[in-house]
Amino acid sequence: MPCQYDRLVQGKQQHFTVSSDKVLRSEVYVLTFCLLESYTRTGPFVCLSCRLSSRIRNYASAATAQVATEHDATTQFTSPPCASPAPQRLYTINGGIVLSRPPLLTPPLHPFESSYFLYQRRLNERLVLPFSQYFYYKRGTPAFEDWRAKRRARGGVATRDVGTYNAYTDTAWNDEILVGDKMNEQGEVVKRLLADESREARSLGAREEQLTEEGGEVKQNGKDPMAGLRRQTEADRAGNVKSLERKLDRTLYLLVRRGEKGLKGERERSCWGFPCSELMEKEGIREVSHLQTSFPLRPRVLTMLTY
Amino acid sequence: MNTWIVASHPIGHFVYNFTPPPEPQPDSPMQPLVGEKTFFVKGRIMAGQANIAESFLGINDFKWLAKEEIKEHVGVQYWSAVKNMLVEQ
Repeated sequence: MPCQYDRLVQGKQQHFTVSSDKVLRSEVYVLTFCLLESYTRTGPFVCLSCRLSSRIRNYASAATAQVATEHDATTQFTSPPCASPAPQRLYTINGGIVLSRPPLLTPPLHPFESSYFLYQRRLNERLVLPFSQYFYYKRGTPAFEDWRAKRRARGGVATRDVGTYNAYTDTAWNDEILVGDKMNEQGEVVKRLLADESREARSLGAREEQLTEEGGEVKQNGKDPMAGLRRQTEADRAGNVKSLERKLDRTLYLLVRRGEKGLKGERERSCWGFPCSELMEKEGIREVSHLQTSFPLRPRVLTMLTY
Repeated sequence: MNTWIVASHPIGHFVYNFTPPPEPQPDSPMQPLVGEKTFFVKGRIMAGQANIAESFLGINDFKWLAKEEIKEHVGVQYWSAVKNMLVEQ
């Protein structure tokens, strides 16, 4: 379906001509520009036959699939000229990029979620067969003795993250924790799992003096028993907004500032935005966006709209 | 900065009309520009860090911000155009 749309951009005339068998994406751009501009004009611009033949595009890839299925390459018709008495309202077209760093950690648990997970773990204790200890730990080995000692400390239960709840004793009915008990919280569960390792150190003969508290964190022989990284990084504590290590459970977006320095209030707010730049001739949004991500590398070049 | 642009089609747009709007000239074929339309494309950063030292776009600062922090930095109309293409989490 050939559709011709002339646009004046800064004195230069541009033709966006889409023939019937052209690639889909350029057609999407033309139609998007056409329709978006027509919606912003005052008064009708697109005549009825054009509006019926054009399809509304929204920001979904399903739109391009729809064009592929409904488009008939063999029919050719010229849309009647859309004469408009009102002068054209012309806009500069910019291409911007929303550069995002996806979250690196799962979000923290809601209290209901952590309660639910503890309930599920204790329910599992009631429903499964007892832990098959002789399969994993052989009698007479130090690992067996060590595990037995730890299990005794836990109240005879093999699972490490349900507290002292044993489903095979007389107190098996008491499977709910009291309100205000922080046992089910994510941090507490991790501490309990790690305390398991500290007990291991004690059972192997480490003395109490070797466990020191430095800076609020329990350390063992100078090394942090919490082998692993923290959810709160250095950048979180410092509030370093330029770092990509900050807020690991959130999506971060790149925001840039263009304009004079030292502005305040509303004018300062107008300087911030996603990186964007103007489209030159025969450039698509994607090319311009790609250039912005490599802006330290090369200056602007005119690129062909190729697919 | 190792980035990946997800798709060619935009995920949102922002229309900025110049204030005051320029006078239309009915005689000449060259009409003054009424404003700017920005179409945003989605990209992901895989590795690296933004470097604005040799930026030709006149960028003098950058920040990596979560969604609610962006609201505090940008203007009201820009935010209302942009907020629905950003993810909450």
